[in-house]
Amino acid sequence: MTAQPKLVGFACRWCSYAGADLAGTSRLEYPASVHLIRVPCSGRVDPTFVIRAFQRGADGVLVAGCHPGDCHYASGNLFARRRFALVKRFLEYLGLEPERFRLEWISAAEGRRFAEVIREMTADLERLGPNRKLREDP
Amino acid sequence: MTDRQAALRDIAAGLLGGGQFATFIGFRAGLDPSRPVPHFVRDASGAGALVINPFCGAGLARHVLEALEDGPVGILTRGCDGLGLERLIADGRVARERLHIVAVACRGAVDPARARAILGRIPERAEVDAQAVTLIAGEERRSVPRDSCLLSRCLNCVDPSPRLADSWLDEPLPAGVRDFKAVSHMEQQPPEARYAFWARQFRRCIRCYACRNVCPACSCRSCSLDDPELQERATSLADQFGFQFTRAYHVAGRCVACGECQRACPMSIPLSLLNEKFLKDIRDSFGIADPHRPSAVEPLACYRPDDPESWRGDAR
Repeated sequence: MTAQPKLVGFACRWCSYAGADLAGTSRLEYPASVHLIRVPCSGRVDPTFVIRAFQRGADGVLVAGCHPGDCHYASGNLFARRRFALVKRFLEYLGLEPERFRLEWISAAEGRRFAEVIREMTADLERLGPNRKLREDP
Repeated sequence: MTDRQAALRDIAAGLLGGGQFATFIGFRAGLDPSRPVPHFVRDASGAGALVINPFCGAGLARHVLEALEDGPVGILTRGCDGLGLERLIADGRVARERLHIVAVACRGAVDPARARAILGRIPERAEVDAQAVTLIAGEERRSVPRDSCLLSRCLNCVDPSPRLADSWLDEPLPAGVRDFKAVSHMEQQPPEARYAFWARQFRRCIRCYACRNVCPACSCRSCSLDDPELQERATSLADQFGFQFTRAYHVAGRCVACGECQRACPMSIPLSLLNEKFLKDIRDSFGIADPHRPSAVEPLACYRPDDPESWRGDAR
């Protein structure tokens, strides 16, 4: 594909959003494919958000939160982990390519990890091409 | 059969005659003998209308929500109804002490449409046992395999008898273990085949909301599926995926696998195949045996610090 893929990232404000910030202030290069949405916690991400992102044109969706044990609210990411373990498998069951959805733990100190995840996902999505399965008809 | 029916009528009449119970929920005869319908009996003299036979297919659990508004309820309860009642009790929608559960062991309900297709006319009676179904009309008796004419949910049933009971019409049958064969089969298909399959199924959805309205796990007063965005746009395939995902996810961890959604679906969408995927993954990922049977804590309302993460690497 020629156009850059669209990647929607939900990033928890305490860890992953700060990690993305660090990637920026560290002048790390990563593709501009990601549209980051700041959420209070990865536990705040309703799986319906993920579906809606795909419907509205996302080629991939990333949910990023604090490492287990580091959640600002103690357990939000642990609930999210259970939830998205099911959601990811369910999306694949419906026929979606596994690469299109990822849950990642990215701390505020891991700017490098953030850039790496975005690079990996963008490469995967470029290889897969646009999401046509869950996208609303243009 | 008749013994059970007589006992059922006696118990219902007793409950309603005692003055403490306002309603008894069971079945009465429908327009044709193969289609009995759910029925509310309001006084002892009406108990004679109750029937019980292998054509009684509809789930009854969800009806207690309406009936309880008038006072305590007696209810005929098979295994699937019992799980539904357990769900409503666990969700705080129903108080156990306001129910009198009349338990009956169920060997499966006959699908009236399939039975009619086999017989070429409307069956008048049916006999179901562990091996076969016998359809009867006039002088004709025909024995057919169970999987040719039972409701699909009954073929996968592992809960023939309810776990909660206040009185029994017969002896309970032992519970079994779900094998998730259909889900495993689907998982083995290539992704493109799975997508094509679900696209074909979801395209048919007419958004009648029957799946939600009969579901014992789907009784929130304020429902996500009532979102105007979901209601006003039923045209694109992506919307259908979104709707089906939302319905299935919202009962994940709470579904009792009664299969009532699939039975109620007028477009024959295999909704149980969605619900069962979640159940299978809950069993395999979180080590919860029989996740369709309600327990004190829902699988998605708790966590373990060591929940597996290997699935996160599946992508690469």
